[in-house]
Amino acid sequence: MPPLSPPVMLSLSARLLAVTDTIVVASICRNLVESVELREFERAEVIAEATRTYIRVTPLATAVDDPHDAPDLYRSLAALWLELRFEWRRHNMVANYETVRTGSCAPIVTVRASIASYLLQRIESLLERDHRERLRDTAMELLDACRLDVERSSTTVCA
Amino acid sequence: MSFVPSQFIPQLPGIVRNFFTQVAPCTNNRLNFGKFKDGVANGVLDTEFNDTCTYKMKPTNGRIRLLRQTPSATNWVLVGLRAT
Repeated sequence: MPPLSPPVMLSLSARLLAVTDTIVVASICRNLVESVELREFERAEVIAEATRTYIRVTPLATAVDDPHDAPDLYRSLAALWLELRFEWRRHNMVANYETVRTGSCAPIVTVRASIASYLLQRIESLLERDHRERLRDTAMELLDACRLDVERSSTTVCA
Repeated sequence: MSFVPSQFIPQLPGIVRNFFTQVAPCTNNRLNFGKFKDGVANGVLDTEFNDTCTYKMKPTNGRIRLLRQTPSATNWVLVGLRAT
């Protein structure tokens, strides 16, 4: 029996290239798109949007591939995760409110939300869970706190 | 139909997860969590509405019922699938 070799630890940039693998991501996005009834041009539009998102990520992995620069790459991925999270949240909110308002929602909205959350899931596999949860909570608190600050300062100015 | 008791779900001893923010973040808005909080605060909660779930899943139509059972003072989120 050959001796066991130590497990190879892939660099963050290599792992990023793996999670943004075009064939895998495109295939799953197509499955999601086909799970709802869309017109042909809508289907093409949603696939193109998803493709643009993950194709834009790949240069990060090739440009920042030195292991010493991994903290910079990690920070960019955390920011991307937050962007995707807010994108998903926006689509999901439209879906929820439209559903309550009219009883249904355009499938293109719900499939956009599902795809954003799928891409989010791919990227979040590269981030530590505790960090993600802290990031999510802090971002939401920041939004609420900023709004309160602005409301308070407006009240003070107007008074 | 799934039954989810209260806002917090016990997982392991000493560990709880917030249903609206951690388990089903697609319900973290005024339509869902807002009604739930209002109902709990007022001690009266029995409302039902359509919902669309999209978080890490294909688009899925759901029906949600928020319910407070007064005798046991427990609050429930009932989630069911809805035909299109």
